[in-house]
Amino acid sequence: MEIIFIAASILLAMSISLGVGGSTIAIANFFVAIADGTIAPEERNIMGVTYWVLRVAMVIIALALITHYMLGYLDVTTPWFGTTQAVAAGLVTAVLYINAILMTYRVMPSTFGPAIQASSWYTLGILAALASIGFTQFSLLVFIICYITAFVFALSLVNGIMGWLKHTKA
Amino acid sequence: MSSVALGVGASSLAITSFLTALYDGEVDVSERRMLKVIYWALRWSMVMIAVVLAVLQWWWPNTLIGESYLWVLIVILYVNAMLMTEHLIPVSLGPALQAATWYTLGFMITIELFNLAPLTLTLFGVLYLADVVFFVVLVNVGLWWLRKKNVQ
Repeated sequence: MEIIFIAASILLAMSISLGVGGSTIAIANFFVAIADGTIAPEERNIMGVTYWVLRVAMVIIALALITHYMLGYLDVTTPWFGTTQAVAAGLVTAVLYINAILMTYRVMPSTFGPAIQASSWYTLGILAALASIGFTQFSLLVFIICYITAFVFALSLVNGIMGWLKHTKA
Repeated sequence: MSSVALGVGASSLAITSFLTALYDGEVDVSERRMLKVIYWALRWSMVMIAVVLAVLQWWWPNTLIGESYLWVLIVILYVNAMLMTEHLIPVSLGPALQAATWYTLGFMITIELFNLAPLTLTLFGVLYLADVVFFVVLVNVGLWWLRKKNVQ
């Protein structure tokens, strides 16, 4: 059981790393591709690879989190299961999945979709960094306020750069 | 930890995107532009790691900074990056070594920060060797397959 816990913890941290790096590159590559007004097929191919890497990271995160929750529920491991950090990580992962599905089916407008995804990945990364220094108990309300702040920041950044690109192209 | 996260993600994408760009036999201008973004993200995370470590060394000298594995991996990251930039290391080895170093850094920091296992030289050696072998095989199989496909 301890080996499962260690494996799940390493997989969780590494897949969050993959997601944080992948989402940063996804957004940066999108800006580079759209800078000349159109996304060429070669650029679309490379962006497609990035999205696949992000999907792989999301699947591993979900599996690792479920393993952690099960081990915690069975009282096998740490009291992490009952912490706000565990609830927050589950919440952010759910947002990542729902937003990814909505973006794939073009239900989520491009004004919000990438910003939600980027802020969620970074929030998950920050949660993992906080957990590594033992900071796992905090107010859920404070977390949600911080999450919304991160989203507003990402929204301003993504749409600000998009606006600037449109302006320079015109 | 965020810089390591950026490095792990970006190095995975560097390899997958490089192989995707080579799929048709050549890397064209738009693909090169997108690959450059990934290389800049990698450079940025390498600089951030160096800056964060310098700050940690200054304020908390007895923390993570004392671990020799960290310095070994960071030196390899920098030296290999320079060798790749100057084309002094073959494509079949350079990117694989870089990805393996990023992944080992990610694994070791995770194990250390979450106290998952005792950090020993054997663990570090086995993990690094396994990562290097895995990425060298992955990159070379990918390159071999692309060469074979483009010849046909």
